[in-house]
Amino acid sequence: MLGATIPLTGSLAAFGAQEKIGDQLAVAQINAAGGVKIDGTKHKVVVDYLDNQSLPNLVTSQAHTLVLQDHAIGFLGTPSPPLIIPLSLAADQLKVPVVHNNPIQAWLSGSKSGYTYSWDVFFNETQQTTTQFLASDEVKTNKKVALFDDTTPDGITMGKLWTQNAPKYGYKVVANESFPAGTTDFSSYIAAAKSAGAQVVIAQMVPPDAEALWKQMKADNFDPKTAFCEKCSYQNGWGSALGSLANGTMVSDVWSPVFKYPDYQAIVAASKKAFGGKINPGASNVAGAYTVALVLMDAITKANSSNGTAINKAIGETNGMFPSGHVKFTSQHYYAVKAFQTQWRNGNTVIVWPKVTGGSSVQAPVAGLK
Amino acid sequence: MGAACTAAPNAFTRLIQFVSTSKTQLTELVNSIFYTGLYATLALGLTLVFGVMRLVNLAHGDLIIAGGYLGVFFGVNLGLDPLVALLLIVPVMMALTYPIQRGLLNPLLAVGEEPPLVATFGISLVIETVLQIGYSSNAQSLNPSYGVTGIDILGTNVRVIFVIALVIGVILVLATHFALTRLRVGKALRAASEDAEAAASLGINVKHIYALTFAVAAGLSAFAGIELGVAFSLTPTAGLSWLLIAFTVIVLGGMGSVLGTLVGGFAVALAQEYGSLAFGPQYQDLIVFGLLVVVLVIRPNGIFGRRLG
Repeated sequence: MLGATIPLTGSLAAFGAQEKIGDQLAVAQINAAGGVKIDGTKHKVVVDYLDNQSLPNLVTSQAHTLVLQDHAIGFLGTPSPPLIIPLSLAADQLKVPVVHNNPIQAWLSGSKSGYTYSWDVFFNETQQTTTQFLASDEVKTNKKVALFDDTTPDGITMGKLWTQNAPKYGYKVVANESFPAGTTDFSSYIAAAKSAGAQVVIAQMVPPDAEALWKQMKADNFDPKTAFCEKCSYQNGWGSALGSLANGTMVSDVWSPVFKYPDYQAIVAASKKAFGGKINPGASNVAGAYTVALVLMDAITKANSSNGTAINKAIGETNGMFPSGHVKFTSQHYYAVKAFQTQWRNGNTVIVWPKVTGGSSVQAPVAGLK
Repeated sequence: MGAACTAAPNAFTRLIQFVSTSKTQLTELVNSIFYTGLYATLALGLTLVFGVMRLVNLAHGDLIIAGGYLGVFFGVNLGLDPLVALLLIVPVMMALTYPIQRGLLNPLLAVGEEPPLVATFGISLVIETVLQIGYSSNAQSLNPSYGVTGIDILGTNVRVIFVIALVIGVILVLATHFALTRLRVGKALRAASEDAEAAASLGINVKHIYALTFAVAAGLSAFAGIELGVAFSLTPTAGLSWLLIAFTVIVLGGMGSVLGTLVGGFAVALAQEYGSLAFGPQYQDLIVFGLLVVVLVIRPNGIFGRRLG
């Protein structure tokens, strides 16, 4: 039995649904081979899902329920730092490991002493927060940047890094707007960015808020040369909800079928089925969840035990190819996947930075906001 | 009385002079005026149900969101513009909600105040679940051109959807007020709100009046749902946050007061806009809901008291 406390409702629900698809792919693959081995016997894997409603306070209680009541021997990850931080702390307390995909620095910010039973496979923001400037270098801008960050852990972490990185890449942050998740009126922020002459927009927000921001930017005739919506457009719903307004939005990503990593065809097929034939960050979420679920189940078999400490030790020794690439953890319990930049085009995303076979060049100004 | 009449316009003039002293402040005033329509529409159904049945409808926010999702449904399946789709959405909402009041809430109202309150909470959960099953939890959005265009009004770029929302809000509030005060059904409704037993003794079908009120309130909510979907986005669980705004509006405007929704809507918008200007946008909700708490403590029936119509 594996446990999962994921957001199937609330502001982060888009991520939870995609994560579940990836989990199920991995579980189906492992069960097709007989399941995980414990004490020399193969057992079919069952996942107990609980909906944490995107609420951090529910994550901790659900983690305890999954272990103490339902006897889960490992946790599948939950998306976004506000949720994974409490789950990681609960994992340490319960001595039951969790493997997940979350921005590394924001996740690490949740525990000064680091984590013992929590493992992360995702991009490291110190690298990821340079890609927006490098991608913007591909087109001509006045190098003036407007930041729109919510006050969630990743918003705070990335906001600081963008502020630090901008001058290193020749950019200047002319508007630095911060607000709580749930904000709907962005008119004053947009006015500030517009009056400061920003031509590069970088946002780090939850999807529903960002959709309102994008609409307001268009209505207010604010059409930057490049616009990045991190987290907000890192899910399939960005394209389906906003339609043509989503075109031209850029978002960093860590997985693409062009790399032909293991099982990419299964991920493409499952994603196309779930996302109306489109391939975008929704598929990357599927690939990420698929990877961490395989890492966890491989570790259970290697440990040949349901003991959390033994499984945790085996996770730390992971060293192999997975759908997200070659996974090998650092002493700080993360594997940093290199982020690249993609651009939304009619519901799909294409890699626009760096130049790769099967990629494209940055289209500017932002088509949807023009 | 005369002094009061002259003092009010003077105070209003001073307010206009004060807020017009800088372009930023004028922008906040213009935005507040245009948000009023949306907020009044959000609150109209809530105040109607409260005014007639003394029922705080906890499903009101979800009915609003359901109206928005019906806009998505008719947009995808029939290609209808969201505002045109209201011609279908309003009757659908009314047809779906009339039996809820008649069959579920009416019997519970006879038991006491708490059971129907709990029932509306249950209805809220049912609506959220149905929307999640039908549309997943991904945010949905209505994207007509008037949602992403703006027009210049007194130097402020105002989104066309808010201009439309103001027109709709004023028309709905005035039409509802007219119906309550001038039409036969409205008078029956007010009679039922004043004294249900006496109204029944006069031959008024109170159960039907209650169900009709709930259905009309749901129909009115659909307008707000469409406006929200066009202006912002929709998620199945977004109803609670809009219910809180609607509740604040009716507390400020007078619980049960139809015309008061315009006053309350403007007051909430003003508090949000000037609160943001003074303290920063991150304190917007704190200011508005702080105001709600203060008003509830000082005047539990709202600033302008409780009266239907």
